[in-house]
Amino acid sequence: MSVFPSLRARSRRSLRHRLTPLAAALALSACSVTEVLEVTDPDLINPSDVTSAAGADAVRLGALARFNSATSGDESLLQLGGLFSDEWNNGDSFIARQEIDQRTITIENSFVTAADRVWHRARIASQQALELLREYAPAAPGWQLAEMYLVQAYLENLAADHFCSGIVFSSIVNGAEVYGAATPTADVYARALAHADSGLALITGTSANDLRVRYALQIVKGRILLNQNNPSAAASAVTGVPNSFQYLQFHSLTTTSNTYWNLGNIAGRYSVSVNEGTNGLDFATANDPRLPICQGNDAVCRTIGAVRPNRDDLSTPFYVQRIWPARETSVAILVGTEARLIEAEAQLRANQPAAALATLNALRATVPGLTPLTDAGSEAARVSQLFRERAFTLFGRGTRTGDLRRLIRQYNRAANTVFPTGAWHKGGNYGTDVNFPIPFVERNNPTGGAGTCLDRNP
Amino acid sequence: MRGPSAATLYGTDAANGVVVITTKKGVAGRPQWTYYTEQSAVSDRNNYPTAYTGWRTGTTAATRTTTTNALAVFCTLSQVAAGTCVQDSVTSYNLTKDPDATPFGTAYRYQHGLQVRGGSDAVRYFVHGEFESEDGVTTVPAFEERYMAARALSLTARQRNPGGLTKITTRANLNITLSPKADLGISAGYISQDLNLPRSDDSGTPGIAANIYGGPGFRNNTSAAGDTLFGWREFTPRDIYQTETTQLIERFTTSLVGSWRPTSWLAGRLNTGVDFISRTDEQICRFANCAAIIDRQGFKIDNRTTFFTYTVDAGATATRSLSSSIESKTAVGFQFIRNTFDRNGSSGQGLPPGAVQITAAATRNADEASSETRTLGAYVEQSLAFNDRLFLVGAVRSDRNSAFGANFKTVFYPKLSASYVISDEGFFPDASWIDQVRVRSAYGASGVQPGTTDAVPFFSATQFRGESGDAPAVVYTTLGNRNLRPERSTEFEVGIDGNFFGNRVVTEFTYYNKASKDALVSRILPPSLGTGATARLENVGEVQNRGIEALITLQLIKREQLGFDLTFNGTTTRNRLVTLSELPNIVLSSTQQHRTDYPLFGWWSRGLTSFEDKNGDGIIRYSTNADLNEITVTDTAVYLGAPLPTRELVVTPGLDLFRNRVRITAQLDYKGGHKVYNNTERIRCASRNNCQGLFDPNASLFDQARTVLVREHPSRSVAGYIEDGDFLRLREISLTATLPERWAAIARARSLAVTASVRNVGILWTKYSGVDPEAFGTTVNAPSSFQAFAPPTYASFRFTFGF
Repeated sequence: MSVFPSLRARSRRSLRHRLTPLAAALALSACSVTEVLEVTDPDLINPSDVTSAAGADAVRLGALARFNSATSGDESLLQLGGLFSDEWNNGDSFIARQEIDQRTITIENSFVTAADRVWHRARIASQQALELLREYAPAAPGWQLAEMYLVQAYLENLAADHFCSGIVFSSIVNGAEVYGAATPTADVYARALAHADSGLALITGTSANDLRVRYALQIVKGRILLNQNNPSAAASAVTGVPNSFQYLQFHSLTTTSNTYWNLGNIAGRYSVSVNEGTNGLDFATANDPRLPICQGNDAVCRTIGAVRPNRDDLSTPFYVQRIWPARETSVAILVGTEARLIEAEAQLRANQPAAALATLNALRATVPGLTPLTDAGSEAARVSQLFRERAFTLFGRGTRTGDLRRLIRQYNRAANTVFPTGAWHKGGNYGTDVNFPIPFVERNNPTGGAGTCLDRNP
Repeated sequence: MRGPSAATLYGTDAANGVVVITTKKGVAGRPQWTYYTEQSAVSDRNNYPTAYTGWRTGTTAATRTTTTNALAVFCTLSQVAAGTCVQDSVTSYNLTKDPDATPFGTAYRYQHGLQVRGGSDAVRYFVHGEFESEDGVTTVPAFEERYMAARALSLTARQRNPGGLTKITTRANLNITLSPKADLGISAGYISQDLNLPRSDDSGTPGIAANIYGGPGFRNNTSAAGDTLFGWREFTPRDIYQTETTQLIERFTTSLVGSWRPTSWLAGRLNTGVDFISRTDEQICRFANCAAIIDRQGFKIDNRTTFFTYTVDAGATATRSLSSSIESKTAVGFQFIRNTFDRNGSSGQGLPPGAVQITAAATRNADEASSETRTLGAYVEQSLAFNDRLFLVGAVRSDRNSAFGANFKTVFYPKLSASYVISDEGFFPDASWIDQVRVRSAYGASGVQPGTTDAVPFFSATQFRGESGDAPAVVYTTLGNRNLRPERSTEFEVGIDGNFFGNRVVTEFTYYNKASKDALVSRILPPSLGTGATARLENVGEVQNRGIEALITLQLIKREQLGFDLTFNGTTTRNRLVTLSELPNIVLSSTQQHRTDYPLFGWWSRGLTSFEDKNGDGIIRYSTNADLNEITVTDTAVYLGAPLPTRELVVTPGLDLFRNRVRITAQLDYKGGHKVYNNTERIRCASRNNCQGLFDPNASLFDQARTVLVREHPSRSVAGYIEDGDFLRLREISLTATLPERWAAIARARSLAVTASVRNVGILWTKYSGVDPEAFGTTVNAPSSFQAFAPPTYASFRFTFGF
């Protein structure tokens, strides 16, 4: 695939010359029409400008920048998925956000559409970077190419966790668009797994970057295998990932702000929820050290600059998360502790509840203030206990919606016992959505069936 | 100038018509001075919506009726219907009508101008200078004055008057007769403008509009700190006005116009000109100023933009009599236009106390943008006049533009027109009341050029934040379109003009039909392509515009002491998307679509087809139980209406008194046939929780139905707020009196005129329930009123002295 067709060479001017009108008239008489009309736009970076090793690296960094926006640097599936499940309550006046919170998402939803664009941009960018690195930077370290596969595998799995069956994968070949067709969710997970394996195959070293990317790929692979209902393989995939591992997204005023801080702590558009829709967990009131909370403008919140007392819509209570207290706080979108959670789930599924409990308690022992769990008593209760541990350990990191869907399809729970249900906090009732629809604008894809869900199954 | 004639002379840029402005020239003779001054009072006389709150009855401390803005004590009509609360009262409040709380006051505007013209037969001059100053209508409310006085707080003079305009305009024209065969004209103009704007429309929640439109239905709401907000939603002017927004413009125009007539039948011209604009846009919140939390750390934005337009226009016209009855005129010409745009932007966050410069900020950013377009065009036009009554014109123009795609070269625009003074023919009925009747028709082509970079695929620069800091990066932005070409329109028009009853009745009637092929449509790209741009300009489809234009001027009374004239100017327009080729319908948003056989940018949404108070309780409810449900909504999006007016009528009466020494005129403007999205009422009902349809049992059933639709129905459709936009507006009424010379002589003047006028008088009638059907917060393609203010009213006196 190439986005770089041959282009008509553009003239370069070393000087900006301002022609007087009279001089222009004279110049016209002496120059060809093409020369007279030729302009150079310094804002543009032509595709031919990136056909070099340096250009390939710039595109690689651009893919990582897109990846940042597709995770914690913009309102992505991470935030919307939390709003859709039981992590966040809506706190503003945007109907589109309220739809998501209420689980009544229309196909024209602008925020879902924007989040869909953001992850596809990162996906395409990583594909472009791979192509350029292979052609113009053959000496690039393997982890750099592997990280591009990480971007694809992570986002494809994330999208499959949130969207209905029918995700479309289009591409750009030789500068021209190649439209894809609606893809069943199972195939999306398979595609993500293939990308994860491709990335892992490229890492042969043990440098810090090699380990960083490899551990990340392992965790993503573990997630995918869990989604494919293969917990034992998932546990094998994450073997050796240390608890301390973090794959971080960085933020700053000059690049992207931490979106949890921006939309939550400062703008009040997201508030940590409490037992949302009856089935939701007590995220804001559990006093769990993995999810420190304050209430807007209380003494603790004032220390982190969260001084608004209410949500953007002036409602209360306004619960503020303290995991990411500042604009520049980095976000660990992948953590080594997730490997232990995957292992615990595999143990539980292998009818080893004691081992699973031990794994969970070993993990809890690393967090000051957490006391050991006791056996929940029944299989269903143990599953609930495990998923509660996942929820608090991975809060806000885009796993909750996928977990709730797995509870339905892998653990035979009813949707109305898993997702928020009953009276919605702003009036009316919760809907019955268990995933996001494919945005309506995908129907501008001429491929038949693109832009509609193949099914709305969990 | 419009239609084919405009396209021939001005090319691709002129597809939507051309406005030709002719400035005053000097007149040979002694210097003639004119001084004028205009004094105006400016006020906002619009009706802004009232806020409502419904209060619940309860027995617990959390639910008893109390004057607080805690949502837990409200009781909506839906809740009453569901039996979850009992409403014991409904309060309403409009802070714009409360002298204590309103931010609107009466502002002052003045203008002074001086002109002189004169010269000799060889050299004539005209010089003009004008100074204008206007305060904004936003002032500090009385409650804020008391609050600040009690706490020794203050606003700067600039902050106390957040809106305002200061403008200097100068112009000079010099016309030189070089010889009997050559003339030279030199003109220059300079404008300096300083515009201050309050943080008014929905500039986020800290703006004036968001806090006026979003307040509750009672006066004594309080902030978290316990301060009374007097109905303002969250922030009040003492904080809002601390955001200072300024636009500075320096504009210089100059042109050189030469004409040469070497023979009696040949004339040539050469025009060159430069239009330069320097614009600075600034916004600042000083340390510990402003409303929003982040803003109080201090920030400044400074964007500096320059615009250049260079024009070269040359041509020649040969006029010959081919016979005693046939006159020929042949014209050729070419134009070159170059537009450049350069912007440098900077911003700084985190200002220390006392700092106002970006350099002082803790974090600084910079960006820049540039663009350039060039157009080269040439035309040939042949005109023939037969017996001074039949006129035929044929022309062709070619254009090339730097924005055309790489695979597209040149566009050609032909034109044919005919005009026939049929009343001069012998066969035409000889009636004394018919002065002249002319029939005319024209056919021609024009086009719209794409934007500067629409055809080009490119990457854009960005930054990546890694563990070691920021690094430059590149991201793919757009596919481009190598086949992009201008939109091509062909227009046919036919008309008839008439003068009757000694030119006391003048009529013009025109029918036009314009078809645009290869229409430049912004085609939405599916997300799966992963491009940075969400749309791409493509030549797809065909758009048709047709309609009627009519002008009738009646001099109903023409006496020495009394005259009365009436002018009607009306149009109808029918816009249709004829085809999108093979593309599917284009969904622009949840409320607008491009669909074949409907207007462009049509309003589409799931419609409210009916509502019925089934149980007679006076409340409209939504229920998933079909027996209880009282609103009916379509299952899919339906067409709701056109976004732009389809019919317009302007009526201008004029009354002349006292031998034309006094003239009274007015302008009535009607527009209709379209829909406007009342997004202000939508947010009031859906989110701000303060509209009548949400709380008041006396609200109309329609208001209740559309509120329930947007809040509770699964579609969350806003169709109920896409309203008829028809209106009749009195735009202006004025009286001009030319006073007797002896009165002027008192001021040592040769003439004196006085004009009293009121502009933006008001809306006489409208179907629109919002503030003003022409006050939009969004673009003209999606006329949506989102917390926007309507224009103020100007009451003016103007004195013009001639010396």
